[in-house]
Amino acid sequence: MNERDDLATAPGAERVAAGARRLKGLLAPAPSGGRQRSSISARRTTSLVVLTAVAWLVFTYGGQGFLSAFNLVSLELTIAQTIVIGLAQATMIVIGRFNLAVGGTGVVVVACIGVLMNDTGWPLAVILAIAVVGGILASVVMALTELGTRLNSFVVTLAFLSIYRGGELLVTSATHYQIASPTLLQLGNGTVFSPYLSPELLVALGTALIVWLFYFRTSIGWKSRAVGANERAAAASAVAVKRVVVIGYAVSGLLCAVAAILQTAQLAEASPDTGNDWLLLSFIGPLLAGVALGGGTIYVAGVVIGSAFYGSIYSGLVVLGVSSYWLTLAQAVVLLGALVLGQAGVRLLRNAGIGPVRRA
Amino acid sequence: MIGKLSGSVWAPLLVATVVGGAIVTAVNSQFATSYNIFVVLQGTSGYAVIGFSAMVVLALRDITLAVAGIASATGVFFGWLVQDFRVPVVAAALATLVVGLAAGWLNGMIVTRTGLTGFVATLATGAAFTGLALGFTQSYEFSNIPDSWTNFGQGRVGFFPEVGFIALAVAGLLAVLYRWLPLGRNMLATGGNPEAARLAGIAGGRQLVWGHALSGVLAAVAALMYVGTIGSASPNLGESWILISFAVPIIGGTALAGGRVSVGGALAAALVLATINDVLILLNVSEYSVTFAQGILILVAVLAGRLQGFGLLRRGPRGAAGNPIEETS
Repeated sequence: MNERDDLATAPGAERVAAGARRLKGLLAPAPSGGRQRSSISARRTTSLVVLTAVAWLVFTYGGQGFLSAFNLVSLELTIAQTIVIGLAQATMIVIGRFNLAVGGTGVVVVACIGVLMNDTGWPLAVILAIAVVGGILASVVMALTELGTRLNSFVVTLAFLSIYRGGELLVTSATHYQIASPTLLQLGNGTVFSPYLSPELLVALGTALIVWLFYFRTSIGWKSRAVGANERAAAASAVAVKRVVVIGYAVSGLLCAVAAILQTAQLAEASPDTGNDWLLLSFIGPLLAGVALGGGTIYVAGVVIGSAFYGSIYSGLVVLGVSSYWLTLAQAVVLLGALVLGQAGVRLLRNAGIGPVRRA
Repeated sequence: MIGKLSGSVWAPLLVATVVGGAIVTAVNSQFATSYNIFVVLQGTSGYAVIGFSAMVVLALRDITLAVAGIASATGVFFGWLVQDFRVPVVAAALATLVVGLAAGWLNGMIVTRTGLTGFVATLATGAAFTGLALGFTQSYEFSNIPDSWTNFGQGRVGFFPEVGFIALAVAGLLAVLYRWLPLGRNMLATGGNPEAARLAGIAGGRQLVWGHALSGVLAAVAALMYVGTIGSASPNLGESWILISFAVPIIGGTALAGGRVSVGGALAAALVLATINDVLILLNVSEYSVTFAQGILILVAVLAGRLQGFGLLRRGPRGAAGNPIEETS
């Protein structure tokens, strides 16, 4: 009888204990938003790393020469480009805005490089500095327009995309300027330290590190995240919202300029077509990283890993001999798949009580 | 009431266009010819339908970037049917509309089922549709479009283009839809205040799917019109449509914040854009200036709308994207 009682109550007691644990979990203060997000981010990062590894295995054994120096360097060029353009978008998303004009800003920079290289004998450093300043100014003009008119960033940057693209074509008459600078050519087509490493990848990773330091180790970076998360609350907390917004645009313009220089170096020409495909590209890194488009978050490592995954798929398909005309579809499907699966994942986690409740 | 408010946004632009047209007429004898008016109206018709395609989604407080992609895909599909299978044009056109509907429906389903915003979802699907068209055709252009279709696309009655009748018919149907039909009213209610609409028993998700599906059909209509006008179906058909698709409704006074549409305003905006396009070409200004001018015009138009104090496009608490910005000390 006694023994029976024990047998009967033992599982019950366990259930009670489990129930108490669960209740305690519910009553305990909810983990902070940052921690919630970082748990999601960590899962995402893990799955992206795994997916990238799987992709590398498939392409290595399924295609010819995926691990050749030539292919790895071209893979790194794609990744570098995707990282910097993705960061240009991420730095706008973090302040709660979109930049539809990443390509427009990029083409302004390209025009500066092309015209100055062609018409002046100035040293490369001076020309690049002017071009970068041009990119920053182009972006700051958009910021001032947005703040001055209080229009939506979507409308402002859409209009400026058109203005900058049309303006560039008007100024240069769609000229392709050949680049002869050995330093730029070395950057875009050379290697450093080993035949497997492109200098552009180092530039992109360095840029990513600086962006991370800016947003997580400086006061203005912290304020940017505050403005993106809740502009009114930030303003009420004595954050100079307008200044933060202008700086956010400027950082985005700077990154567009870096991306434009990288692309010019790769192509060995200042092409007026630069930036035509940047809009989709700019969202790939941030969206694969799972950044909420509402603002307030930036996930630099996620952008880097997302870009690595995307670049691997892209160059892997080239190795498999897929026609270049199918690559746009592949690009879109990778993005769509990541979005839908990511959203499903978020929903699962949310149902389990750990996810952020936010539309991407 | 709605018409009055939003109408005021584009009315000054239309006046400016008429005045500008009069000045150009004095300078350039080619402007006021019957043929040139036909060209302007033909451009207007195309722009208007492209704009409607984005407008019906904006009305729901959502955004579609897939207009260009759906147009490219459906245009190529039509070209493929009529050139490789010799399908009669009317049957092919109907099939194309169905494909456009399916593509838009897919967008709507993705948006409602995953909870992604239209911006993100259609950024990806739009590129996927363009990618399908590119991959399928390997960048080949179907240029063997039956004469019956190109005659229609390039035909005119006096100075009025035949494709203009399609644009007018679409505009009429949309006006009826948003003014009198429950579906249209529900879509506007959902766009205006999703939460209130839901409490009033309107299923927001269903409206969203309908809106995206309608957008897909309209993108296909625009593609059919352009295939007839250009005389070929290329996978790059919609390449430069993104600006137009937003410029027309925004200049026309459709609120980005949803809940308000202006069909007449969109028509007027399309006319303004087409006229500027035409004048810049007539005056032998570089073709690139058209892109430049359109960008400026969007800014000027939304600004003009804002300065009038209606604030339809002002970023406020109801803003579609971006946060309201407060004055800082």
